[in-house]
Amino acid sequence: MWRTEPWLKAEVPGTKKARVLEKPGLAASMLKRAGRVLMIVGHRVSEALSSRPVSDYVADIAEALNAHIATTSLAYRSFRERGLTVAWLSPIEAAHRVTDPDWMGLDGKGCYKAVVVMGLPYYMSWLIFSGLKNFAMNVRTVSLDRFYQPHASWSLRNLTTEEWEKFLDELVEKLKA
Amino acid sequence: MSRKDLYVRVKEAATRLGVLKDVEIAVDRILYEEYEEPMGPTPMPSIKDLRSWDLTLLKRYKPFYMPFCELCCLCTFGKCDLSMGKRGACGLDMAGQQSRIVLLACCIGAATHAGHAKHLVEYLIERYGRDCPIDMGEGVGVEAPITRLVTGIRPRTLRDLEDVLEYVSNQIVHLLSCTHTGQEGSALDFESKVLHAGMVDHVAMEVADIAQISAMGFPKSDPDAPLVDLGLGTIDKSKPVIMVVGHNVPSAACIVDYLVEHGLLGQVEATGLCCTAHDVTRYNPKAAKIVGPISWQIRYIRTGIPDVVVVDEQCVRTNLIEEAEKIGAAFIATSEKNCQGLRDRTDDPVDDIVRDLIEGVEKAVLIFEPEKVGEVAVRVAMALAPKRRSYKESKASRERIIEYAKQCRRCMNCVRACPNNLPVMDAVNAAAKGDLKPLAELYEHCIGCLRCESACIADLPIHSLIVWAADERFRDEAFKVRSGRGAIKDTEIRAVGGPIVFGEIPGVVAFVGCANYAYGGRDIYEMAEEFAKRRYIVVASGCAAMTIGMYRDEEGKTLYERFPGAFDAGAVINVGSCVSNPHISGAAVKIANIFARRPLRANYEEIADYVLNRVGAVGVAWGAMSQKAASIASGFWRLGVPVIVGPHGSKYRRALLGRKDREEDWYVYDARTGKRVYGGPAPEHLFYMAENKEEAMVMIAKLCMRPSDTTKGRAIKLSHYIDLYRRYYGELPDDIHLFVRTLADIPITMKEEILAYLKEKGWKERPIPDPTLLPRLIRRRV
Repeated sequence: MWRTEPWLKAEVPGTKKARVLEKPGLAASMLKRAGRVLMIVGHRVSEALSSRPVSDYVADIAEALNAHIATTSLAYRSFRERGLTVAWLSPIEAAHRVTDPDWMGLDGKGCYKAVVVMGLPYYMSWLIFSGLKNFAMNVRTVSLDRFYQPHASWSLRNLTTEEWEKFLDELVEKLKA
Repeated sequence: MSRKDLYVRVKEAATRLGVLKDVEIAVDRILYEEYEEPMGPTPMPSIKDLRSWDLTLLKRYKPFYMPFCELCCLCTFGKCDLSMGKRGACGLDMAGQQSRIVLLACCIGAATHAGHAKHLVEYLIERYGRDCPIDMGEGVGVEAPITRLVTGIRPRTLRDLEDVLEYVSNQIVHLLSCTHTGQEGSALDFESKVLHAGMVDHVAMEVADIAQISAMGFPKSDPDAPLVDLGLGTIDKSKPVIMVVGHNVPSAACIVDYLVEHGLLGQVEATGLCCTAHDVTRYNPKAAKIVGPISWQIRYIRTGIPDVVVVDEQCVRTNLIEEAEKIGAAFIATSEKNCQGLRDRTDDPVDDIVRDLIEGVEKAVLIFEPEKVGEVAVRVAMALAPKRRSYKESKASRERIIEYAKQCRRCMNCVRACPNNLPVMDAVNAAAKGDLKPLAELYEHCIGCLRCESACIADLPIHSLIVWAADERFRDEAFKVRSGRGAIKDTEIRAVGGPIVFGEIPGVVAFVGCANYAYGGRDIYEMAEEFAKRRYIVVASGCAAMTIGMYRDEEGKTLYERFPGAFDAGAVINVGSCVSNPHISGAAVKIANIFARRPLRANYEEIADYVLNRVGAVGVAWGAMSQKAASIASGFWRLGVPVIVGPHGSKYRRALLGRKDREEDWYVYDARTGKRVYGGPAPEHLFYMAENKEEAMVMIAKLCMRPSDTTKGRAIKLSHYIDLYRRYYGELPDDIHLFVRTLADIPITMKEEILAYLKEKGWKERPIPDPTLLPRLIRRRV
């Protein structure tokens, strides 16, 4: 049960909670079908998992989905070096723009159909998802962090670091396939 | 009480109307005394009077709501689910509800400062008389810039402050009433009211601080205010120790008075936390010491060092009474806002109260009379200290920590309760195996909220384990902070007004607010140091002012020892406690008034327009926590000063963000011609949440830009912005073309690189306007 509760115990959501992404394969196919994707990325993606930093997974996912990245984290440089479409845009600012149906995205080619969030403090993601849930209702939101985010449309369960790493490895593999 | 300023009695007078007999004329108060400046357009504005200015701001800086709660439970219609486009039974939608809650928070904040000011002014009038003059020191002609700006009153004595507070109280009543079911329905109008609450909050704070500065002899706009001790390591625990916590200083001041009057100075340690500590050291810098910010309350009390704990109001941990009991300390509550369920002993003889506390007949008492608190606290501390020696010894034995840590049941509740998601359980488990380092490392990041202990199923004193593991560091904390100097002198404003408005001093950065830091206090120290080194004017207040003093450079000096305290480039200034914040907003107002000669009196809109467009100031509330912090911030917004908060600030649930990608949002009037011209996204945001320190640093530099910057000033500001951005992100920012107006704006050392970038963007020169958002300020129409 605790696996699908908000990770921070007091961050209780409203009446609609995120659906759980159980399997990397399903997550991959859902993301592939999502259309234009914006990834909102926080500074915690610089943290290292056993084989590589989380920012590497972000870059792999963005590359596979042709997704754009909004971030102010120090991983910005590495995303640029990977040739990804990345903007120095704060998480809150990025989410604010997503709520504007007339915003044409980082490349000016159209609005986003889905937002993926990774690497922010838990409560900040929680609030951003809440903002998007209520003010960008046509946008699908996905949390790929290792803690359950109730305000997202889709979220992982609360996972151990090892489980999360395994999930991300498989997700990237499926996305690249 | 009737206060008659004019009384005429006529026994008999022959007039053209007839003969008057026994006529008495009494004028209660002449509220608007004439002084050299004529009254402006908005004296004592009501909610509606500045609404058009608010809507102008809100059109550019749009609210982005992030509902912290999707339900409303404020009336019996509810709970109502407002999520995803639904409306509550009263008809309110989610945006309306979120802005309503923000207004509620700001009303709480403003009421708290107003209540504080009211108590303080009443006390000071009782002690020093209604005619006690307002005296902000030499070189200060504009003694109360915010009060003059908002109310049109120039306060000369304490009695004038009562009138000002009456206005403030009225406004708060009206604002609070707007949050009732079935009142306001528009999110934007709620936001306008939020700004109004913030504005009156700054008036209330200013009243509180100028009253205590004038009557209690605090430093009067003194750039050389003394350095005072900060940190646990400055306290001599062999002496009786009194701990004061809160914001309203009279009780703490009376403790110091008693020590001085009875020759006990140096024999008893008067120590404090939060703003009462700031203010008691402003009252007597030699008699009191600051332990630390609000988040140090529990770690300090659990050392067992305090013999007596005295609490007044605001930000006091509400179960300190239990913590005091655990260490055998006496507890004295002193404010009617915080009675703690205690018996009122105000009218009892001091000897009886002292005896009861020493003998443990009562462990805690409530005393409303500050002088009595002073005597009781000192006498009890002196009597208890010898009996409490065992409590004061360090409990931080390695064996004890390990013994506790072994009881951990690995339920993870501590981590899931921690607002900063600290790896508490792993640290406790490492300690169980004998490695205390991970536990000690949590010390810097712990905000002392005790949620971990509350959640622990094994009832472990987790916070204490963290502090014990870092015992040496904690006990060695010994720093210097400059005592709160109060206002900025008019003479200082005259000297720096031009360089600030023209941009040659790149900005004024104010580090304010609480200590709810997401990643520890070092971030805010590093930010303050960075901008002081870059010769911005760095000002600080409240807990933030303490935090930036709690780190040293390689020579062992704190920022206050390294940088001067005058309001000038490269300064690090502590203005004082929370209620000293209007000296910061007041400095911006004074720049408009003293330097630019804009009329001040009841002329809010014009001054705010000036500040927004010309004064490169930004507030940083990196650990903002309270409702007071919310209302303080909104007072800055209405005045045109943007505020950045740290990650926890996102829980204020609403940002006010500009859109630099929408060119049409950034047009201003050129006051010289009346033409609408592009002024650029400056300042880009009004209320911004930064996720990390690097982002905040870049944004601080960016938000200091203003449309009116001269080319030299803009070049200086751009060079800081670009330099910081490049340091962290390795390239030029992608929006330079929005901030370069003419070729002369380009920093000379980066010219080639920036020119190449501008060419790529198809940039064209544009005029530098004399910017205003107010059509009535256009001098000539073309």
